[in-house]
Amino acid sequence: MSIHLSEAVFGYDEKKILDKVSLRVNTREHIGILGASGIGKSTLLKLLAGLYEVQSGICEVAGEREPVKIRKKVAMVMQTPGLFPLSIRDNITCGHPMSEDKIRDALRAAQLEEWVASLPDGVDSIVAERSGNISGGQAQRIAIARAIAKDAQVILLDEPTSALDEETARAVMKTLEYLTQGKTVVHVTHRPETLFGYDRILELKEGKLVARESEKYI
Amino acid sequence: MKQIGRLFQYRKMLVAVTLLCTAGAVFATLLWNRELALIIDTVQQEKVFPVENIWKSIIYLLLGAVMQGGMSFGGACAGEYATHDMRMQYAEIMLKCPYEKVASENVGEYISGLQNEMEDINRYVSEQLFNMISMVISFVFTLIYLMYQNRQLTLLYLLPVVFLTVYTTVSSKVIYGYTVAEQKEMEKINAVLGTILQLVPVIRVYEAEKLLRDQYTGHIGAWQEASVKQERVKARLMSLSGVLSCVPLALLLGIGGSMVLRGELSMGTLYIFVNLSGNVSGVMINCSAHMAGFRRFCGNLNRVWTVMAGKEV
Repeated sequence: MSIHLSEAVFGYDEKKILDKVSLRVNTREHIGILGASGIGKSTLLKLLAGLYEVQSGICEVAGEREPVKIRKKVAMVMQTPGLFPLSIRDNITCGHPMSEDKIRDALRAAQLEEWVASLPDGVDSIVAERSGNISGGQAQRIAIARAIAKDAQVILLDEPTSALDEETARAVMKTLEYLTQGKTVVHVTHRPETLFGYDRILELKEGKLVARESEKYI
Repeated sequence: MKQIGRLFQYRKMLVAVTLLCTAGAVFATLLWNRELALIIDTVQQEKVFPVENIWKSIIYLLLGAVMQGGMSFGGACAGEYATHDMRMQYAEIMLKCPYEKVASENVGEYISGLQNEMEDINRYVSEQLFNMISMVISFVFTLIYLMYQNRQLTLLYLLPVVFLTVYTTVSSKVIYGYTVAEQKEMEKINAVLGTILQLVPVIRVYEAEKLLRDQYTGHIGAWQEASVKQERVKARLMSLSGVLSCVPLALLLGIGGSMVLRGELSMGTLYIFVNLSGNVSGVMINCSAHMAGFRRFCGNLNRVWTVMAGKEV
């Protein structure tokens, strides 16, 4: 069992976003969670990432219940890449010691190797998301390379392609396939077509997770 | 000039009166100094100073005070009215806009941005514009007056002021360069802080706290270094400037004093030179700072008019 949520409750002030949510995800299982915007999908993902703590119930990820320990076991790719205005190397290593081979492997898997090699400073080039020196697709691929380099047991995806155009989104989806291979994956989205081939698809409705027929989307 | 003319287009009379007061204050000061020189010379010659001249002196003093007051009051009113007129012109433009245009604009953001620019314009007009005009009038007429009194002494004491002006201009440019460098380092610190606030989830999931802390500490160190360098250079250049600014006065006292001893200059006239020399040398030495302030004011004014022109239909 990779993820175990039992009767998990979470809300802001009086409002309950997640109301006694239960979920079991097996190791290497890929599950998709659908839901309208603002329904609480990202909140659920943040609970699974150890960024929030359940107010009551159980939240166990990769055998850990403490948020600090959970965070060590997960990697997350969000809607916006969230790059640091630092070098590509820093964005991938996040300041942790990492071999050159591992960085190169992550870049290759994220289909960034050629582009990085063409940059004057290579992997030490500074990326500035907002200044526009890289495209949205390249920025998201760096975020994926960061997740690949972390080599976490659980991968959490929060609409990673929704801010990209269709063609770029398709290319990014391919790199996501590499990232999610052999991992436990929870992917939240409001677009069912991005959950092609997933083992199970659930829907978040009024604070509860409801099962849906996955075949419908295959 | 066209931009400033537009700023005061509805307040021509107020501006004319304020300018009149400004010129009046300068002339009253010059006339009072002339009377003062006469008093000094009469007392030195152990003669009795005529009563009518005492009355004249009192009238010049009072006239100067009234004119100075009129200039300050008129300047402050002109600043407030000009800002009010600008706001009304903007409101007029927005009211004439069709609904679709207004709805598509972020009016609040524009008004907030414009308010800041207008506030700067108001402050400059109220506190500095008429003072600067007064300084220019004072500079021109004091220079003419001093040249008329003693051309040789005027040129001799102004010669080092020319060098001092060049020095002040160059040193202020050097200081500006260091200030910009310091501000850039501060911007880097703010950028790291902004990143931390914005990317909390990413920082926590990928345990990037140390990376950003190191970045922050590094930028703090760089900013500290830039700040110390800027302060040190500023202190050196400005203290030298302070010492050098005494040179014209020292020359005035040295050369003027020896002229008095030789009988080529009266004590009263030397007093006029000492008293009014600042009106000429002060303006020359600080002209780069005044010009920078005026350019900033014109820049703000230009931006406001451009924004308004962009909104007109």
